Amino acid sequence: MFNYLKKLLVITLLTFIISVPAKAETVLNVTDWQAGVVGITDSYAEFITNFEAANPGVKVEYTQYTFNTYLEYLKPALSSGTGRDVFPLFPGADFESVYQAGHLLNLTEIMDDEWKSWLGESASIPDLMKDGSLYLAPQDAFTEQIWVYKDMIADLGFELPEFGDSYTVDEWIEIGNAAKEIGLDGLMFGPVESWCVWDGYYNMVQQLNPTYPNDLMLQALNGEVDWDQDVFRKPIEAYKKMHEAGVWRADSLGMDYQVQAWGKWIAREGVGIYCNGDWFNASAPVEHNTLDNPNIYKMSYPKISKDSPWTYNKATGTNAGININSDKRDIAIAWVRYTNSPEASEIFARNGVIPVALAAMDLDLLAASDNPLMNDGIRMLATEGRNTTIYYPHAEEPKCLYDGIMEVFLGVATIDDVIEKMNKCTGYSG
Amino acid sequence: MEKNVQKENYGAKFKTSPYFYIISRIVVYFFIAIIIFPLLYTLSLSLRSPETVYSARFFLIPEEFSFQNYVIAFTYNFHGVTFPRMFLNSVIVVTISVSLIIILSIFSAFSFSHLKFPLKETLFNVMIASVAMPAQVLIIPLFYILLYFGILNSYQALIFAYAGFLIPIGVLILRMFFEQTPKEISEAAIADGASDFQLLMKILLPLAKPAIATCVILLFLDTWNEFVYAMIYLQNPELHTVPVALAKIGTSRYYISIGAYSAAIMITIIPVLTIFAIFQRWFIAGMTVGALKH
Amino acid sequence: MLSKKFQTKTLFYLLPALVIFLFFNIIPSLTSLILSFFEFSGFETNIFRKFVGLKNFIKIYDDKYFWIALQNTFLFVFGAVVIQTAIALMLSIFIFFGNFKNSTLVRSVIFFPCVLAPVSVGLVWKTIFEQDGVLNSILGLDISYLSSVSLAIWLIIIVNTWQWIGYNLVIFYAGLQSLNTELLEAADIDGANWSAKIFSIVIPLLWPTTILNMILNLVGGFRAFDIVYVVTRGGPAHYSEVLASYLYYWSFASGGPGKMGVGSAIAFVIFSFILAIGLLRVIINQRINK
Repeated sequence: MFNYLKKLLVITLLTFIISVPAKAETVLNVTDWQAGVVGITDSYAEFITNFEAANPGVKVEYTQYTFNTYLEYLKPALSSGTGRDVFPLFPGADFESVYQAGHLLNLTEIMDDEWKSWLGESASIPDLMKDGSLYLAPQDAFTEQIWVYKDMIADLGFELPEFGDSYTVDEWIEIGNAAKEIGLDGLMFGPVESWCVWDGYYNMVQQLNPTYPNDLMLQALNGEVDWDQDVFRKPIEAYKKMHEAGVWRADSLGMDYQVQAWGKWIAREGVGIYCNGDWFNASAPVEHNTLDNPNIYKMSYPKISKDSPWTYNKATGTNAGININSDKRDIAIAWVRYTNSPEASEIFARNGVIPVALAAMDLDLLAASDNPLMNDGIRMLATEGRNTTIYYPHAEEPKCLYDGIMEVFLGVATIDDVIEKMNKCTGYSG
Repeated sequence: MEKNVQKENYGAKFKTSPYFYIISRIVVYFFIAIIIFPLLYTLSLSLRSPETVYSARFFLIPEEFSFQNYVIAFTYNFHGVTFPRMFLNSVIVVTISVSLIIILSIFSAFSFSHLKFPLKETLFNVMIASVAMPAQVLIIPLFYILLYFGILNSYQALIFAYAGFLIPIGVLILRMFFEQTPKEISEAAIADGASDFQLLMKILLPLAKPAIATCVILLFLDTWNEFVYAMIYLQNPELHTVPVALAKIGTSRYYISIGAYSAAIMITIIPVLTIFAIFQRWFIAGMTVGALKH
Repeated sequence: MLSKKFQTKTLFYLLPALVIFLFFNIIPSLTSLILSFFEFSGFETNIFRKFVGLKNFIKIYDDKYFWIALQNTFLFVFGAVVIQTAIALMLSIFIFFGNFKNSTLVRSVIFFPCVLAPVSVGLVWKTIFEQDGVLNSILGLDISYLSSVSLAIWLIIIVNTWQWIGYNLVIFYAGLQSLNTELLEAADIDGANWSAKIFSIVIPLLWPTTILNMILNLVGGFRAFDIVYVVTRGGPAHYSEVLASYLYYWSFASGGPGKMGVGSAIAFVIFSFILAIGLLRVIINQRINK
């Protein structure tokens, strides 16, 4: 026994000798939460090769986390000053917090004219700016959408809406009913991921927004307007109607989007998939996404009524921030700049990711790739319509909204309850 | 073999009634069925071809056998880091953690059971209470501390983090066991002039083999599947452990079919089974020593 | 008791473990308890910047989901401490005295789920519990278990019990094997029947082991996070949250409130409960020893 323990002691002491060796060259540390997103991962692999070739002595270390665990890494890291040189952020509440904590480099100040020209209008996306300056560099763009299988729609006897238009709530109920008769779901819906619920809600609010382009939703979340009005009620009513009509299965309330809803849609258990988007352009089932068989159609969130304006949730995906405390600032800036360059944009496009730096690219060339979903995605980004922002700096108010809508789904609260709660949560005072 | 089975299951020699025999069989087999079913289900999912992953006879017999899921799972890599490497990482972390914790627990449990010092019970209660703290709560402060000691992003980070919150469990189990050792033996040893150290090493420890074996199993479980700290404190992909890999696959935004995921689970189980099988004998041998003391 | 008084050499036995425990457990825990009086998102370099006193505690007091999480935690802990321990006890007795030829195999099989990663266990069971999953197919029903406000927590309890029964079983079995057999032999000679032997002798003798299992399950119950997160993510709409998962939601969830101070306040609550139970144990022990 004693000998055994001695051996154990030796092994334990040996661990102090095992340590990560220090690297001699400059290492740029880059991270994101896109673990498993094929388009981004493949694009980055090419970026790294090219960047290292163009910058001898520099090595890029790219660590990916999953969407759900990214913050578990990022918070302690930034807090203790060990954050990576380049890290993306979810615009909205996280961006607000990190900006307030002073970790981000002001990009407007360091961007040269050529870089700005690549980005064009994207260099001044409001979601990514604070106090008039850009702090997060957008890389890829997407529209959040509903995707449907064209053949299923045809089988059920419906017609696809004109490109850019979408089905109304009532039409979705009809589709849902027809689908159920042949054992399919109307929509695959994964509301365990809360953004799935509120992004659709914001879209419907913007459809009804009488003061567009003024962001009424922002005012509501700020507690500046009364929630007890049609523009905020009707979307909840629409959701409730669709849920009770069974457009999506009852089990949806316990389903997440990215694994279950998406997985089931790929398995053709439902006609459409909700809160999906261009990020999956490269991940759609290949047999339904070729130029010979472009079987997937994109459309926006449900319209409240036939004459609702076309409204889109257009946004940027991985938005890179540069760590103000990075000791490799120049290299970090060069890297981020590179990801916005035409060369990088081409790589993105080849891998099914829509680059945000479209201003520098030949759009006709771009929209003629062999990925129909990619082509349609670019088309949709260029289609005129109302725009819904999906990133608000509030953390608790959207949570209240989500909880409220879910409780309506679950039948444990009425819409009036939710309205009342939202007024309380946002601090609206009469 | 015969002799060992008899020794380790001497309960069998006590008479029970036929009713007991029947009831025990029914209950135990029922539970075994419940335990086994999901495991067989996972196995079945992993062996189905990706197209037929949702259909099977009696849920268990695949319509189409295929190893494709295993190929997908095996070739899944994170920036060049593959499953075998992650296994190695897990094995290293777990072996060293468990060894360290056992050694430290033995000595400190002894001080709780046989020595006196102020605030003993208070410290013990605090130790037990501390284990209840969920990992998420300690993440940020512990991050700072690991950073301060300069061991972040290395095996040591996990080893010390695990030691910190698992030592109480080792102490709990071993203290209970040490205290249950008949006093006559201890007193006889002291009367013979044994020092504390000799008492611990020559008498208590050999008798404590079942408890130590139990400890090893529990500690192994708590560290092998630990995923929250592993994900955060081991930032290099080269250092990732198995649960981190599974978590990444299972919650990946790119759809990994349930079939491939099941294959990944199966892959991680097989080495564990082997370790298990080897370890079993030591565990049982430890049990028989306990029976011998009569 | 060896020494009647405190000797400094005791420190040598205790110190290494104590130092590690202190630095890697107590200090982080204390820090987080203190942090429950602050508001921070976790990104700030100085997390102690914004002192808010009891605001976080008031916030959870007013939060209906906190009380749901608390209730669920008690249910979960009850399930673990009472139901799981009882089943494991029963199984261990049946296996031990039931003259099974392959008792090692039987025990290994039941123990096996313990070595599976909770993430994997959760995902597989999720498939089973889906509306179009195995369970409904077997029962011929079409119920949505995962979206049921009342059932969701029980699903988690079932999955957790399924996984960890083997853990308790192993400990019970070790206890059974170290039992003093003289009483049993005497009972045999006296011709006692099996139920008397089991209930009057074995179970009382197993009491320390039972307590150990209950403590381990209790502590594990308060900590349990992985299972909840994977099977339901605390859903639907927070109705299956337990304290540990709700804490995570407040601190780290993407799209969550991002207020780690509140998370720390929830941790404070957990810690208080366990400490209270520990104190209870000490008081009971003192009463017994009188």
